[in-house]
Amino acid sequence: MAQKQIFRDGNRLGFLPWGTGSRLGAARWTDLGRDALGELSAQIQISNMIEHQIPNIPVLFRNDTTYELPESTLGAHFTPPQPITWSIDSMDGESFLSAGFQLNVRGVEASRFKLIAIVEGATIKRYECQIEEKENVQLDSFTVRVKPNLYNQEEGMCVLLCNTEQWFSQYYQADLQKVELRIGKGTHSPKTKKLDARNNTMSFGSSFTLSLSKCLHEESDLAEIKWFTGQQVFTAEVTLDYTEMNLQAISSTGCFDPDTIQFTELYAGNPSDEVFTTLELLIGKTTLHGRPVSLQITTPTASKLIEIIDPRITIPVKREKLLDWFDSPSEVDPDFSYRRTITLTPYIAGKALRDLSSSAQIQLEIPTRPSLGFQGEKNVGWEKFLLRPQGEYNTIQNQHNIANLFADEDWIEEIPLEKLLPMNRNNIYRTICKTLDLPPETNCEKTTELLNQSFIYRGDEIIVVFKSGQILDEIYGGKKGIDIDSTEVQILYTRQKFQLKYNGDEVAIDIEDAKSLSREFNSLAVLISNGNKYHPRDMAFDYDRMPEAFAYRANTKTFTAPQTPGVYYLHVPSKGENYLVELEVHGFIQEMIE
Amino acid sequence: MSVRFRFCNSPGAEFHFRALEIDCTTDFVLHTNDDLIETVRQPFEAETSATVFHVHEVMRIVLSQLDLTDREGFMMAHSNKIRSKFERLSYHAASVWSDWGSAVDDAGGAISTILQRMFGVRIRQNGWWIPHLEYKYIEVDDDWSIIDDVVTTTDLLELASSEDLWISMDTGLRLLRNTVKSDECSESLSHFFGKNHRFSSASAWLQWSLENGTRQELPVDQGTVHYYKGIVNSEIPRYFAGQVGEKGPYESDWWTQNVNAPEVPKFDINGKPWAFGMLWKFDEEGRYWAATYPHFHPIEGGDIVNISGAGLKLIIKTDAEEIEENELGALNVRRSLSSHIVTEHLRAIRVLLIELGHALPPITTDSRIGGLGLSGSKIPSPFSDMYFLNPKKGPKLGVIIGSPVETTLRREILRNNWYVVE
Repeated sequence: MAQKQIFRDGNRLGFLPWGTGSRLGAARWTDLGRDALGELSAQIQISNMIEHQIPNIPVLFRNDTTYELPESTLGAHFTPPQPITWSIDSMDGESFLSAGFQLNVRGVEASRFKLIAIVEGATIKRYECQIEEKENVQLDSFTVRVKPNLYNQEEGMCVLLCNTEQWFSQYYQADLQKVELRIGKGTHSPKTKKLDARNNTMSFGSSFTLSLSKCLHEESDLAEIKWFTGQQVFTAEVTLDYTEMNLQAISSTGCFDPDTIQFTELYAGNPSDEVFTTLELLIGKTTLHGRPVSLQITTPTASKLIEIIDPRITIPVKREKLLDWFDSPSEVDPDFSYRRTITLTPYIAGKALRDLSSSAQIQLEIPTRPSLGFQGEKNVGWEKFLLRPQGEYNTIQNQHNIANLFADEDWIEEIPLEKLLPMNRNNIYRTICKTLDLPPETNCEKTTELLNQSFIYRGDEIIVVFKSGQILDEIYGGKKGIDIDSTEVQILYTRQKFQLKYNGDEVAIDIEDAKSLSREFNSLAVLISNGNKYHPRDMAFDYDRMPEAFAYRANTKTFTAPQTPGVYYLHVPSKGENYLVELEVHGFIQEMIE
Repeated sequence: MSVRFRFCNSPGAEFHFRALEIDCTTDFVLHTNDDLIETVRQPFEAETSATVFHVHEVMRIVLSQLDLTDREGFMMAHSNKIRSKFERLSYHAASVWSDWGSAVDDAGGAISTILQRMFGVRIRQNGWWIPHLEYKYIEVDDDWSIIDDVVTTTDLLELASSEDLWISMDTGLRLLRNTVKSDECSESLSHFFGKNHRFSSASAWLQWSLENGTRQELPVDQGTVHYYKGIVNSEIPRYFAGQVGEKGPYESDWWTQNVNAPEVPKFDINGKPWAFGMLWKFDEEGRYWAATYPHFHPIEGGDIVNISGAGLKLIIKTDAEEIEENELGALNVRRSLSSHIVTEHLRAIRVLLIELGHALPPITTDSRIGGLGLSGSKIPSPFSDMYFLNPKKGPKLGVIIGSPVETTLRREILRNNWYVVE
């Protein structure tokens, strides 16, 4: 018997197979007849109730021109486009249609005619058209300062004085009829207007008192002003200067705290409502010219307008939200695929001040993907691989017979797990993955040449040539500092210099006992550098492996990476402690070396 | 007086396997969707990584060993008793297989969740469960049946060879080849999904809703009416209710305030045109957009027809209670029913538009089922469509994904939800 039964007007209709809380399952309508369940019901059709839409056409035309009228209606979801039949009522003009869709405009200024659109035998739309013939005279653009109206009791009003003067080679009559200021889609009339003409120089003047919302335009600071006379329209592009409105006072800054999130913590954890970071906002002012300030916060997935009551705001950001952000398409630059930006745009009088927008960024920190040493056949996504639980790594390791790194070394137990586990994970990844199409192992010609000039292999030692070595150092970007506690794969170039550091300080190495290890657990002593030579202390050193050896110069506490690209583990004892660093030595390609 | 202590060896794997009543050399194949982990033979072998299958198998051992209680004519077991026995066997399981804790978490963690997700167990109220101790199968296609009982795999291997079984280590799903099962223990997939007791088409559901809804005026204080477009392009229509709940209808391509907008479909039902609308209101407390009053709007004028759960006068009753007119059942059940009804309406409209050629139908080989509005619970259980089909990895992985019955079941579930698929 079902737990939850569905009744209607006292009659049982069916049941829900799963009855607790939200666990309803799909309803079983056991007591409704086959007819009600639709065995015989007909397919519902869509009724075409959609009004036909005519493409936009102008209603002002100039004399003696032709215009192609649209031939069919705009199609809609459930309405295919239909042909339009046009007819014209020329009224007091002589305009006419030819070939069905060509409008031929004939008539004096201000004369009118009507266009009628007929679809499927019914009149869909009538257009009242007019012939407009004023000459347009373009004026030089000029700047208009937008000022707060200090004399108006009503807050948020602005004054715009639009005055300009221009000399013309011909005389124009100054019979001013009207003035229009167009900001965005709004057209405004002036409070005062004037037009003087003297010796072919015309002085245009007008003042406007507008509310702030009408002065601001989201798209640009450009506006257009028109002075209409009996025969001409004088048009000028104006740039609105808001300096005196002090809009920058409401600019905002924001930052995430913390601004870096660990990839595995974000994706591998639960629950979804956990707060991961906070967005700290600081807004200059909460009101300006008597108007409240808002802030539009645009995240990678949404845009939200918030009212500003307090200039300092803290917004908690939950895991779920961050996941949405990082699952949304990344920013244009692929180098920043683990970075997301939110934009903060102040709003006042219903308008966004995009010039004052600022941004805050949050970064996802993802362990460096190994690039070298692949031996397997699988194409495994690094991010997906990182999110596997430790148990799965163990299973994969067992199934592929991958030994734990350096399990036989007596110092391995001193290496902390938080360091060993990522190394082991990287080793599994390298073992199962196939080689990259373009492995970063190759040096370009110039780098190879510099290496050959800088490091000359002579039997049991390597001669170091300082000058060419210095050029190589420069193109590599200098000496690299490596945190000895880092759990990341460290990337170096062939024979690049580096220092091991602990809390920013150089680490003193017991170099006699230091060695490099390969993934096959073959060890190699570190060469000693005395400035112009690298040589081994150990007489049993395998000289055939000189290019694989690290070198160390004690007085500068500086290592030099091997010359052979590959994966290396550097084991360095220091003051009784043991350290292990995972390194990849890459080739260097820079074709344009001066 | 003196006491002498003697050190003894701790029990070995043999002891634990004996406690589990499992032969570690049992040879069969565990399949997986994991491209880095290979299928496993001899899955009970010591040191093998435990999987969801192992957890289900131990649970099956627990259920087959428990003394069941006769309630309402069914033999049932209570969660507390199951938990106690399961914890005892878990000690042995964790001693022979690695990662037992992770496997239990993957299987659901809590005892009730593990049971809810397993085939072969049905939930009753107040912590009671009915285990299917006898052979029981759901016949999926000509080749395979889902095993819907708690017969242990060891016992099953006496009936069938390893080649006749397909078992998933990721989800615990067990399939049996039809050639080795007896017909009298089988039910059809249609019967399992209650196909004969569902509305047969989107048109049937919408017509029934219109005929049984309540004619009334819309309330003025419950939000702004928006009308559903059904499709936003000619692709497979996928409507994500959560996204609209977050961003609101004003920023959604799926809704418009203009009932006359050409994108709003008008349905010709019983000779009159209707549009589908809902009231949208921002819930300040919950910070989301709530949609209520699903209704048919008459294009030619007149009262709307409220087709919400309340408008359809649907009342949920437990069988123990008497039927009273005003009884509406628990609030959360009522809310779920309302949400379920709205999902049905919205899907019906999308399906209708697909049937009329305005958008593409889903494809059975396409594992992406997001936004199709499949009915049933989102809680993983065999009563949830998502439980079968969810393409997401990890604990959310649909139970049939990667199995030989995946396409057949996806087709059946899409058809149950009125989609016309090949």
